[in-house]
Amino acid sequence: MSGAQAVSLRILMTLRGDKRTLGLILVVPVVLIYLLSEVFERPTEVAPVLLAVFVFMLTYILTAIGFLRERQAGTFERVLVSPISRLELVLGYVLGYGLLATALSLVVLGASVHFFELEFEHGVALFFLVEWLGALSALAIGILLSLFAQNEFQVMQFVPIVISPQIILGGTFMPVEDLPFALEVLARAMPLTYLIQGMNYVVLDEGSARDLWVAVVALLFFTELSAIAANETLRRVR
Amino acid sequence: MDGGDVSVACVGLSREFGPTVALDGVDIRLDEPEILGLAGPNGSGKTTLIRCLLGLLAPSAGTSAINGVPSLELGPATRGRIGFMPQREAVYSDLTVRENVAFFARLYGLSNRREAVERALSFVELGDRADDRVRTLSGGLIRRVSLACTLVHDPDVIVLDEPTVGVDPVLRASMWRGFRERRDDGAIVIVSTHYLGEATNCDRVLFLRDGRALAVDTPDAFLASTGAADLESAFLELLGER
Repeated sequence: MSGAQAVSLRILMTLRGDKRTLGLILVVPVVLIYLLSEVFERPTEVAPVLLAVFVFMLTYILTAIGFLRERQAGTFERVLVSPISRLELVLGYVLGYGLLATALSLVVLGASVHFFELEFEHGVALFFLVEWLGALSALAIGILLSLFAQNEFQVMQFVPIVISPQIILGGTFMPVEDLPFALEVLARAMPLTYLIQGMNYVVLDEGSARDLWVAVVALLFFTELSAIAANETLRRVR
Repeated sequence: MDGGDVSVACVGLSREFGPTVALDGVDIRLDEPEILGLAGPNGSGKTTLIRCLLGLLAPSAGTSAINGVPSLELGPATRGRIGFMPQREAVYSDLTVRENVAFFARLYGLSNRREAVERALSFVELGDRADDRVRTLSGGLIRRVSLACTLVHDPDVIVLDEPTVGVDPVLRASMWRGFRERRDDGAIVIVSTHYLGEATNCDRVLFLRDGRALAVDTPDAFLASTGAADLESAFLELLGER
């Protein structure tokens, strides 16, 4: 696993000189949450959905573009020729960007408490767990999808194709169970649905504890599935 | 360097991209340390050949192997003996020169990392710029960083895709001296170049054109057989354009 450690350490070291990415993690969420706090009279009611979408979108963009840059720079092929296994490489990325996703989740949490004056029906620890798992699933999906993109524009093209349907169907505008059957099935196959479901429980006490644990397991499942798919794709992209 | 037997082989290696034939039945056999030049104009198949050889690209037909291991099955042990310098920059612009080389030293699991990094930096004469961020360097200096990353683990199969592009003549000469030293120490060095004149530095040269191997021989043999004054003219002779 030393290869995975080397890759994750390199990701974090690279960040020192990348002020834009640092801004995306540390500043952008704070500004956006502040703006929303000024717009919504009772932000707590919309907080679970907004925070879920923020964390998911930002982590996806961060990871997908970061991974793509590596491929574009040629460093990716060089790393593939080294003794590191493809699994170690994917794990290294999950570790490195996982730490960034953790930082992003903490910033979102702090800004929510400060600007939304958010209170958590089931405690801040559970909120952070759900938020973090949501970020991890977005991270793994970002790595996977970036393997099918040749440039940043194509990474962004996945947003309306893959991310937007999750926002529309995942419980943002109406409960998933009220959707027509076919759309409900589709929504249940998307990670953002479970992120919103988990956040609704920990912030608003909507649903039951069972809903929370289903969300936790589902987010872990999507993360693992995407990481395995990324590993397989790496093996086949030749 | 590992010190074990080194070999590189390609048999009937072909690769198509849709209707385009990028590589067309290329054969190579290297059973002992030598410098093989892959020469040819842009788009002649040099990079495709290198990517197939390293297992980064599956061939449409044919086989290739490094140190007896098929390219698509290269395991950590064999890959640990390969040094690859891609055509693109292939270094991290937000890291310093030393951090880049140290990252690759770590990937290769070197125990004497610090020493290996300093040796590689010294080889490319970048010791005085070691703490500069790569993004502040010129194109030629970045190629040197890339070369240091390639050689830090002292590989015995060295594959360099256009290593001297953008490098000044003095350093270019020094790099070729370095490649010869590596060969003398027991390495196989495969160097692609579209500067045909530079191929005189190689023990043998494989001329590629439209994915096909036109000929493979020593530079002197090419000059003798074509009666040309330099390798560029010899290449044109081979094409039948003169």
